[in-house]
Amino acid sequence: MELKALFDKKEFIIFDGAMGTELQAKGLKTGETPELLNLTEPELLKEIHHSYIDAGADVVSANTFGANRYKLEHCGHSVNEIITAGIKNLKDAIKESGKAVYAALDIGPIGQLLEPTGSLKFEDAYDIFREEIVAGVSAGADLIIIETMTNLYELKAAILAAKENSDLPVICSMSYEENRRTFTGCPVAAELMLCAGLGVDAAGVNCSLGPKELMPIVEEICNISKLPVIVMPNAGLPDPETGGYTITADEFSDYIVQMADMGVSIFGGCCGTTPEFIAAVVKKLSGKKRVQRDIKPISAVCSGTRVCEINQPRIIGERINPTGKKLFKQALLNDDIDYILNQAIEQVNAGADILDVNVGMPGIDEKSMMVRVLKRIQGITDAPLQIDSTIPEVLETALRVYDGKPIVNSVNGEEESLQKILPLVKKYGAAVVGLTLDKDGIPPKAEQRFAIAEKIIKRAEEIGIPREDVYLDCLPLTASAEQVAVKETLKAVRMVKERLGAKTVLGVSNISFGLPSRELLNHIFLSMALENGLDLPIINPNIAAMTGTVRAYKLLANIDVNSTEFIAAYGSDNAANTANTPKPADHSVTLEYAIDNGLKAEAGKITEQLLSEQEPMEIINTRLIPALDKTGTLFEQGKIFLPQLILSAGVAQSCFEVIRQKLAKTDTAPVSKGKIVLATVKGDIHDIGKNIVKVLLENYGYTVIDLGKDVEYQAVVDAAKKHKVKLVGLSALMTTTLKSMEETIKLIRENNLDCKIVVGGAVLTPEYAEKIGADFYAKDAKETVDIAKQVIG
Amino acid sequence: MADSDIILTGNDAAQHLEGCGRIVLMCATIGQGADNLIRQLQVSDMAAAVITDSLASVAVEQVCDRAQEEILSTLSYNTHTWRFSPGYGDLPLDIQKALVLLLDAPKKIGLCATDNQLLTPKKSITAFIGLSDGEVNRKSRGCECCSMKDVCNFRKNGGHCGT
Ligand SMILES: [Zn+2]
Repeated sequence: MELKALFDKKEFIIFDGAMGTELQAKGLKTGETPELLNLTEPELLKEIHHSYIDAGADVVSANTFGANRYKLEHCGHSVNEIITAGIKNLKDAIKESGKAVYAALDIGPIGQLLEPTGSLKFEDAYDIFREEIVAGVSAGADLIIIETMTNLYELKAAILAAKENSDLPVICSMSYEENRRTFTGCPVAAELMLCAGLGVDAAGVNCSLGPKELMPIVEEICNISKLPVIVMPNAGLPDPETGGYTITADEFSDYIVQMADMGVSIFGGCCGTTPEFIAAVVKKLSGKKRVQRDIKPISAVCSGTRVCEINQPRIIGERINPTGKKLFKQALLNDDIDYILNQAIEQVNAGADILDVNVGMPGIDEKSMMVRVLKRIQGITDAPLQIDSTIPEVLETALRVYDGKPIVNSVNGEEESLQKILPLVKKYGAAVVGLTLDKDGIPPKAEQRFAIAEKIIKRAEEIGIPREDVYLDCLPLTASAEQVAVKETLKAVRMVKERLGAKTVLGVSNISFGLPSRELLNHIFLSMALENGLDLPIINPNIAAMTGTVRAYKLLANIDVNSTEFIAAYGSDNAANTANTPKPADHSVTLEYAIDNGLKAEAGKITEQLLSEQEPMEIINTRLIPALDKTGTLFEQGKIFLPQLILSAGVAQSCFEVIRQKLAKTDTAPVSKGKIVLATVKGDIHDIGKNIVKVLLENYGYTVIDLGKDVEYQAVVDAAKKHKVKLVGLSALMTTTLKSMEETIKLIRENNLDCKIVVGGAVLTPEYAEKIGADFYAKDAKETVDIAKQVIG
Repeated sequence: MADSDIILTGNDAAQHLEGCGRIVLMCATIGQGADNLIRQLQVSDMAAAVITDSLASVAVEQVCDRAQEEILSTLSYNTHTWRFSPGYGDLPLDIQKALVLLLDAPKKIGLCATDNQLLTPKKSITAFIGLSDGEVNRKSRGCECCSMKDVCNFRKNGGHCGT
């Protein structure tokens, strides 16, 4: 079946109404698994299906909403059995009716939260959905409806599973609150963008609200959706006293008619609706014509919770890239993802709208690093990301696990690149940076670069990537070598913008390579490029002059209306100014005083001064560590509390940062007293305690290999081997995960690793630690440091 | 618990509900936003993360206080117990998933449980309150039924945490 074919026959497609409501009316108890009835009460289900077929529904959903591995865990039947029976009941009912009605495989949320808030991995979610879809397809479903979703990431897993394991039409719908976002913060525009990109047939909204409350959301969807729109409201709002719903079939269908006039073409009912509601909808829509909507294409990307429309200059932060950065490379080699996360937060705070992510360097597995880094970055910022790699396989893996619509960096005019990259961009619904170069390199003339740009757009459109998703990079050459070419680049930007109507992107800082005062050149070139039509400058947003140029340009070009953004950034400006020009350290403030009192900026400044007089190790051993020991002792004595201890640790960390940077500059080996592996054990997602331990250990000069939370047993063993550590720290916070700690220790022992194990966590006791075979029990972060000193020195 | 397959094992829940004919079962979450914020702060400012984490724990308790007040005001009974949650005393955590599903919490408020019976978003609570037409067990809420009683620093120093 094809949805298009159905639309050729019908003006509107009508789904059925609620299943749960009908089952409850027929005696299903709270807490019972409704899908189990597919096997135990087939006649009851057929009766309900019949009632909706009689009401005039074109498509009826099988009773498979919650038929997934997680929800059916203890019910004694497999997903395949229950889905097969569910589809069979429906198809039998359809056959008996003799009507041309289609059977939908109904897919609801898994019922468990995905990473990073939950512990369900994206790949596992995909697998759960795949199992449902394979069962539904072989049972003979005509289409797939994925509905009542609240998490964009979970929706993406379901869509990919549907597209990769069936040829059936796919319809998607999410549930929104009155603030037009889902529980997890997903905005309507993100759902529509993801669905359009992944080749879904129709998208919209269902459940959580009645038709009246859904009206503003439906209006927004009708204004921006490129796909046919589906709406399946509840029967009003639930009455808190009775649990019943509040509006009549007549009122319900009046709202549906209004929505049809707004351009919605697929309807159905959710909680509280009955065959009477569907019959009323069918009746009131009969004879009505479908409204054609005229949607203007927009350029935009999104994360799971934020949409960034490229309708004005947007800053792409370039800092997550190891090229030419020693500390960044060291961080990658040490699996120090926190270092990269800091770079992400810093750039977003400085004004980046989108972050470029590149982790390619010799000596690391770029594919697995890219996945880990992407997952972690999307856990701490809602800025959309640009995936930057030269290896198609890395791009594909990253495109799968990205939560939203990313930008791919990049494709170019070479045949091989076009053939390898564009299909990936199409399949995953991404936007793409097109570099105007080909096998002969970057052509000198604007007209030549324009010709390549034209070719990239043509090839993209040929495989179904819309022009608004191709961002062209006209490639500035360095002015020191190619001074005449600067104007050619700007001219090419203008031509692409005006003649192709495409968005433009530029890596700005190339222009000044090999010249003094690079910042000066960069920001002047940036303003020239903006005036010529640059949409996406790729810059270092931490440099005030660069971000400032974009902000000032937006004000002067009347994009930042009423100077709102500019004033927000610079209005109460003293804070920003003083941050940029730190005051010289007050000489009465000592390093010890700064650490005691949480004075980060001062401590950094003092460390810089000390470095001109003393050796780094001397500063660490005679100043930093004694100061930390003092706060540690005060903490043990109960004279200061955890936040103060951590604050001091944070200050010490900034001192270490200064020392590390100095050592990186002079090419000296980094200071480290030794490596320690830390992990929150498998199944446990509470990791704040482990992270506190990490901060403290780092401040005593240890290098921490942080494996994060919910860590597989084997991953701990692998890391301990790879980094040859003498100490492994394991944390578990809940009674239900202590077992994992025991298993992890067992596996370490079985592998005969030459390392000690220290354990900690709220519910752990010294006795239990000994019982499960740990070498040490640490009651808090301070004690872990003492143990590290004892084991490593 | 009648109308479900859930059994409240151990002695403490039974003792807590002595004399009660009905219970109010409830759950609450302050949502994923808190998790996101705390996760971000753990990277950029650990001290702020620890403080925010504590504040978020207090916030979800306060949500429960408000909900409890609202729910109890609509019911008729003579006395009620204080809120009891899985993990208190010897009541195991491994009923979290069943409680969450019974309350339809994933769909209604976005509250789920992991395979290891941990609530997500993290700052969430499931709890029950016993209602009695007579008198409930008045044994005050104390350290004995706290899951932290063996390792609590307040107790070691001879005090208590104040809750
Ligand atoms: Zn519903």
